[in-house]
Amino acid sequence: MADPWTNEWLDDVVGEHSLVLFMKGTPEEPQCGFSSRAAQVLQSLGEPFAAVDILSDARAIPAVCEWSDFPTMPQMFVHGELIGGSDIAVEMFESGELREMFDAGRSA
Amino acid sequence: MPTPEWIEEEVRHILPDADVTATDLTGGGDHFHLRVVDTSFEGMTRLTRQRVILARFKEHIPHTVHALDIQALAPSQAEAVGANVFHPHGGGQGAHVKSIQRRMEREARE
Repeated sequence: MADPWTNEWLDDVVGEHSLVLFMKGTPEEPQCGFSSRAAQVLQSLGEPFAAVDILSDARAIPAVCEWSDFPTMPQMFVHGELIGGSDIAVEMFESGELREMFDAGRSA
Repeated sequence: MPTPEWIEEEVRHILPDADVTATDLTGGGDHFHLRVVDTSFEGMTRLTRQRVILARFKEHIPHTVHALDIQALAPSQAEAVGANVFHPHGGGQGAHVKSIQRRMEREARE
């Protein structure tokens, strides 16, 4: 495994897990309302997901934002693809698109 | 301190004809909800629409704009989706997701 927070490491993280949430804090103890909301979306989806606490290391936020070319946290990845932050996650969950996208990638 | 009016003006720089509404979520001038309806969003993915908007604010995130919750819609979608403003600090750290709660309550009843 590459050094944490390098592009290679981040590619590995989203390559190895179908659902990844880069968030402030943990799903159990979120440190921001938006991160909490994104974690709740994944919990409601009911599938296992990997949560990466980007407050655990000062390098994390600039590294992730540069790598994904997206300026805010949290960030949700489904099958390696960035879908966006908690606003998009909620919209996609409510419309059923998140479930569709997850299921489609799983059978592929 | 950024104001909702400033946020709206910045969006109109890139999308002059958009229907733009910014809401200061905390009164602190750093957490905003932004609803943007524009014809150019038709056929764009949600992420692409956000990138269009966020590009304008890049230098202001995370300072001075700490959070920008964005609802970017094409006109055809705007009617179907109500104005759903999320308050990040609504219930302590427990974010509260009304629509998810409603959905779960509905599923529990069925």
